[in-house]
Amino acid sequence: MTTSLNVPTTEFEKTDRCADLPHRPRVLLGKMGLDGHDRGVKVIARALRDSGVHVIYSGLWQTPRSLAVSARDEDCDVVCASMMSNSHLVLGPRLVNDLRDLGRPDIPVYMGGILPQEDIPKLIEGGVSRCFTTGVGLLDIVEAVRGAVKPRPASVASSHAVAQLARDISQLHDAKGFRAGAKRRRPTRVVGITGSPGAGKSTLVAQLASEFTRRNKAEGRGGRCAVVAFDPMSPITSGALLGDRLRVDFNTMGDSIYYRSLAISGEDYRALPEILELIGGACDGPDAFDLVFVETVGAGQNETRIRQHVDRTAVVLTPGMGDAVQMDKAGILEIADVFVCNKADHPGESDLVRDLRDVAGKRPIIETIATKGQGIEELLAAVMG
Amino acid sequence: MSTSTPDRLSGVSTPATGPDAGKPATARVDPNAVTISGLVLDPSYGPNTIAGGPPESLKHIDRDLGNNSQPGTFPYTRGLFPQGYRTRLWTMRQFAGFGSADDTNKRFKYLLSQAKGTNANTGLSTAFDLPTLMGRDSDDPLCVGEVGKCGVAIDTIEDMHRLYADIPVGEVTVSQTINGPAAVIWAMYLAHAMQRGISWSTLGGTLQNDILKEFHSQNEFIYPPEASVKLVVDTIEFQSRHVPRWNSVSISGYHIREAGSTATQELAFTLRDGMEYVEACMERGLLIDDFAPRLSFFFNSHNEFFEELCKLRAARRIWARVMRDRYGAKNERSWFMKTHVQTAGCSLTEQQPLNNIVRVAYQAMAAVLGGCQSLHTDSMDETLGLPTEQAVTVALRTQQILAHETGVTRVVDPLGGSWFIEQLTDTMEREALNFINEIDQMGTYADWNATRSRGDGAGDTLANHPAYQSRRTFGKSVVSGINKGYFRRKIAEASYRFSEECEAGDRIIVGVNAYAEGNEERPIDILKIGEQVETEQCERLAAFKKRRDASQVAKALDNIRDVSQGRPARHALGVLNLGPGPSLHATNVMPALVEGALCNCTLGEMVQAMADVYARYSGGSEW
Ligand code: B12
Ligand SMILES: Nc1nc2c(ncn2[C@@H]2O[C@H](COP(=O)(O)OP(=O)(O)OP(=O)(O)O)[C@@H](O)[C@H]2O)c(=O)[nH]1
Ligand SMILES: [Mg+2]
Repeated sequence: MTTSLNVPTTEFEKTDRCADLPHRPRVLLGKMGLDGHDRGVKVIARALRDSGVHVIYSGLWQTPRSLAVSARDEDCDVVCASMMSNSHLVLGPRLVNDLRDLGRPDIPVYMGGILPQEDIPKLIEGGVSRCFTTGVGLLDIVEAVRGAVKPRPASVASSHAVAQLARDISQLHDAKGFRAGAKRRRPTRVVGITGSPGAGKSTLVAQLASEFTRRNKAEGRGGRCAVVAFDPMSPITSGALLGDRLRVDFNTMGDSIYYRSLAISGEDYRALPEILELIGGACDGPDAFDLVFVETVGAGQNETRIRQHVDRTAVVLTPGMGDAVQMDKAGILEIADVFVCNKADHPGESDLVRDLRDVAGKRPIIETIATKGQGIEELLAAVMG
Repeated sequence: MSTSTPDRLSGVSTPATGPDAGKPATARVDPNAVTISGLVLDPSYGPNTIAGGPPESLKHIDRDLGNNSQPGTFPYTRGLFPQGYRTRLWTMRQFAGFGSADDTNKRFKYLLSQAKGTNANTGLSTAFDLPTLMGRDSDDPLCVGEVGKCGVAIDTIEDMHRLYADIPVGEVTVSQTINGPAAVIWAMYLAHAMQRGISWSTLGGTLQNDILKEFHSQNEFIYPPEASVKLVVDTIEFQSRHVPRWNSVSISGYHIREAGSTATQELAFTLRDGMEYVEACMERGLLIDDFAPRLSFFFNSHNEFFEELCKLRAARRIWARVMRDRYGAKNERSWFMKTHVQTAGCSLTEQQPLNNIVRVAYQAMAAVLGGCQSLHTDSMDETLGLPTEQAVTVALRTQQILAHETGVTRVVDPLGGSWFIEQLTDTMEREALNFINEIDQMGTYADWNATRSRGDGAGDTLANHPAYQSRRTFGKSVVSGINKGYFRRKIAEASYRFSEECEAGDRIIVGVNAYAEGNEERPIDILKIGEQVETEQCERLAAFKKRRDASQVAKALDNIRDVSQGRPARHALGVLNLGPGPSLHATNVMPALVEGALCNCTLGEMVQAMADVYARYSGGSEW
């Protein structure tokens, strides 16, 4: 009888291959240009995660600049750019330059993919640290990433405020405390966005941030916003895939936002209050980060701890969750200041709104279609009010 | 650092750390029994090895339904035509395009010149560069460094003229391998033919135009899924009314497979995508037999020889039954699963690139034994860049040797009737039908009552599988699966499985994880594409924009926006007369796009006009 096997004949063992390093590696996997080949990066992302690395993915279609912004904001140990479309000689050196301009010339750039042998010396000359070609093994990639992890000094080499903020957050998150002289200030407004996995939290946050920025600009007002996005960490390897960031269009948002992804186990938001103070204190005047969105890990129904750290909690629900609403009058519904009924373009949304009315009391219910930007102005008003 | 100790050739590994440390991994299957798609095979097949009796196909061949065992009869498992390649050889269609329109025009002419003087059919297939594939003009800031690198750069109708200059497009079939902006590129092509005085009724070729697999695998979508499907329906309707010899969609599994799926996923997802287009067209009110004969397919041919040819056999059978039984098509041509095949790029290696010639030859043989209608063979320099003239010539010669020297063309489906082949075909059919059924469940069908279905076909004949039961409405199942991340997740999981098996050495890749001696030297040249292509293309585009009538352009773009919004076009431009005949649906944007091309709108402008209405789609969640 011919049967079908849905597991590999031999698994790539899930184990922490990074426990001995000075800190847990943070890798930014990046795709620049219009290249849509993502099979390779997805494989690398999984192999690194399964080895205990924290992997941040940029998403497709980044410019060298937007990738550099991400590397700086995430305080990465290395940027891994996968280049398949023969634009490496143009975009590679630009990435290196942008990292320098943005205050992180020390972050090494690894490049892999379709890289003809004769181009490799040119890439190295352009500032790329290491090049990898097709057929490189998974353990070789893990080893290369390990090689990029150097002890982190408390201060970054440049005097760039945001680059320093990114480093300060890393140190706090690693329980290394505040840097002497770091300025601290609680931002004016901190908004928590919670809800089950895939409810659209990251998409909503991206839309809210862009709406906030647009409005400030239109009204000639200063002030920037920041995002702290939490994702779960593997209990076996301590690795994580940090994928919230790719909902933001950094090609247009650029420096008008600070976005930081962090992996935690369970609901361990212990470091959050201090991280918020660092964000608030990092910049002054029109550049100050006044508004911070916090996206929770999205653990589901009984994830309630975020409430104690934020000023407003928005709970995101989607159509088809009506039953859950009726069942669970406590828990996550109780902590909501604002209910968001996202994916209002899906069937069953009026049922959800109806069921929510029963539990909402005076608390607002906002219907949104995050992917189309619908309902965002109302939501922003509700969480700012 | 390594925590397991894979013995590369035996593939046996003993975990050194973790909960299973030291324990030999006894329960695992023998990797040698497992196909690259994860099917665990028996050591031999025969009448007694199969529970529940002989495979269904053999039943047909041996006894009942004697006629169904013949190539050229329903359900066409053994081939669409009774005489197979004796009637018509497959078309040797090499995918080509790089640099400027002139560079590619030269390559096209070279390819045609290399196939003169035999009964071989030679076709062309246009490879576009990434800016064009993403619907952006060469001067767009996001295109820096990408112009002409991965294919040919096309911005305007003038580029289209240069691309196909002196190519008799009324005689040679020309394919356009493009999806997101397919409607716009096709409109430019039709407009260019009009200006050359070539009647649309003589144009033969294929527009890839398969947007669904972009969401699953190739990432060249522009608009959200629903709007994208609407555009495909527009092109299918337009083709059925005005360009009778054209293949409106090439429903593609190739990309799904290259992104890492298994063979059965490729089979199932591709056919299910095809069914989605059929349902969407029926909802538009098109008659199935008016458009279905012009749907075509595009599959991969990978390393696992038998699995690949059985996949094509199963695809023909499933499509025939689906079209006849599920959708009620009456015309035999609507039941035909005609397919182009390309050998598997992802199976080729940078190390020891000459070995790729051998891989490609085996894969091509599987495609031909599986009965493909047209074939692209990859070049040995696949992992180094776009093919050099020398590499592409060897690839074409590989097909010519197969066609003229090996004799495989003499007998149709020569492997039909083998216990193994028939059982593998049935297994792949069953697995694919189960996937199709799973996808159906994600949709909403007005005319579908689940209780009417007769089980999952297990123990029953596969012809009774619920996937074959009649339904005639549009369930939007694939769109819903895209929104849920279903396809991307399945494909990424399968892709990682394959990489894990390579890492463990369970899969030997010659020259990469075994037999790697002498890898340092690269014995072949590569094709260089300079940065001046981009500069020159941007200059050409700027000059073109300066020359044209800006008010005509603005009006044509207004019209595109109007029709996309479901309103009548506001300006009468008087450049296109479609003549009498059945009219198109009022929201069909094709006429406005052809007019746009005739009024010298650029690709990027027309794509943006529709984005003004539909918005741009930034991608799904699975990665
Ligand atoms: C699979 C594939 C596709 C799939 C992509 C599916 C997907 N979602 O990824 C499909 C069929 C959709 C496709 C389409 C196209 N493709 Co393609 N594709 C390939 C192919 C055959 C294999 C790539 C692959 O996925 N390999 C398997 C993965 C696991 O390996 P990998 O990507 O190499 O990554 C591994 C290593 O390289 C390494 N690695 C990679 N990056 C990095 C980065 C770092 C830092 C590190 C440490 C390691 C590392 O680690 C990975 C794991 O081992 C290559 C040729 C080849 N054989 O390499 C052509 C190739 C890349 N494609 C090419 C082209 C031209 C295209 C198209 C533009 C064709 C067209 N004109 O229509 C389109 C564009 C698609 C798009 N949106 O960008 C060209 C690029 C030419 C060039 N560079 O000069 C190539 C080289 C083929 C060729 N010779 O023509 N393609
Ligand atoms: N149709 C529709 N899709 C949406 C909407 N909002 C988000 N999505 C899609 O839902 C998927 C998940 O969105 P995310 O924003 O990543 O959800 P999330 O809650 O942050 O997910 P996790 O961080 O993984 O818990 C993506 O494919 C989005 O494009 C919406 O309003 N309508
Ligand atoms: Mg998220």
